[in-house]
Amino acid sequence: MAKGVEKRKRGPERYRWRSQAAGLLLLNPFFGYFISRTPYEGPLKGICAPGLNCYACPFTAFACPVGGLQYGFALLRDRAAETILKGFGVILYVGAFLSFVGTLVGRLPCGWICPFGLFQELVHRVPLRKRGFPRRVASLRYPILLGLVLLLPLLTGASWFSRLCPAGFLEGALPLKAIPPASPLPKAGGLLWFKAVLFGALIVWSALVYRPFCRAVCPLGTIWGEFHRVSLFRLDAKLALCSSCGKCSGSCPVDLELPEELSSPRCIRCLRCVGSCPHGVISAGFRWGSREKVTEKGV
Amino acid sequence: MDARSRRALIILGLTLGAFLLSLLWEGPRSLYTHAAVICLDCIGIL
Repeated sequence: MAKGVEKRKRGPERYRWRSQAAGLLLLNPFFGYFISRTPYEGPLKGICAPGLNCYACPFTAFACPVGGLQYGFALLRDRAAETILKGFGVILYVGAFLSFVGTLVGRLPCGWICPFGLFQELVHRVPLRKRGFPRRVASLRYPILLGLVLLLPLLTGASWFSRLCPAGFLEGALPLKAIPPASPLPKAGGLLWFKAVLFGALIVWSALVYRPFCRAVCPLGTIWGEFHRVSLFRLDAKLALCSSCGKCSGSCPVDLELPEELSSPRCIRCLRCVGSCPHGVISAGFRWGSREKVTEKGV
Repeated sequence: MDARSRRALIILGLTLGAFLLSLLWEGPRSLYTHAAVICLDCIGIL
């Protein structure tokens, strides 16, 4: 059995799969597509989804914040002042959404809502010998965010992360191929096949490693992870009670050294560590002010 | 109130400011017009 995958879940994590299933349905509720064959075009599409959920998915009702961010930066390349202002508007709007969620809960949506995280977790259940995840691979997510989401769209006017995004292949390309929309789409070229290869590679990687996309690639998790130092939803440790038994570190699916790395940007806030501690050292919740005497080590 | 909560409050204030400014420059409307059509980049059609 993979490291950190316990047979019986304890603590808040035992409710997590229900929350993830609810997240999948809430972000993709438009089953009317089966009849209309036209993707949802209502006003909710102007609101960002709290998770990596492709807005090309015919069932989705919300916008992907990573796609929105790229679109905003791509608009800045235009020469018309009006378009550039629109670009700033989109960047500020999506940035405000990301900042709001990050400041409130950090990466909690990664562990509890994100449909693409759920997909990787399901693939990880394939009974294969599990592999470790080198820490330096996790640093890839910063150049990916900077290069593919911010700089390349700004320099070329195109959404480069979306062009490679495996979530787009799973949630957008596959359903649209299986159930084509009423107005036919242009013929796909080599990019679709390249995306299919990337998606296949991710499936293999996910079978071997727990949520590799979230740990090494996802721009959304990278941004929200940086808010862990300030987020109102916190993981705290009462170190005076800690017997250093190592059960929290042993249970962590993303291999954090706990309780030292409770505020690490790599934590997906699955809260498995909360239930794993036999002494109740680690707790999670919204902390406002300093009502509770808690000790927390840094990143 | 501890320093962390104060920082969070400041960021939330800035977030509200950014949101209001985005309304001025039609941020939500522009995102809607972009998201309402099928994103061809996402599904691998250039």
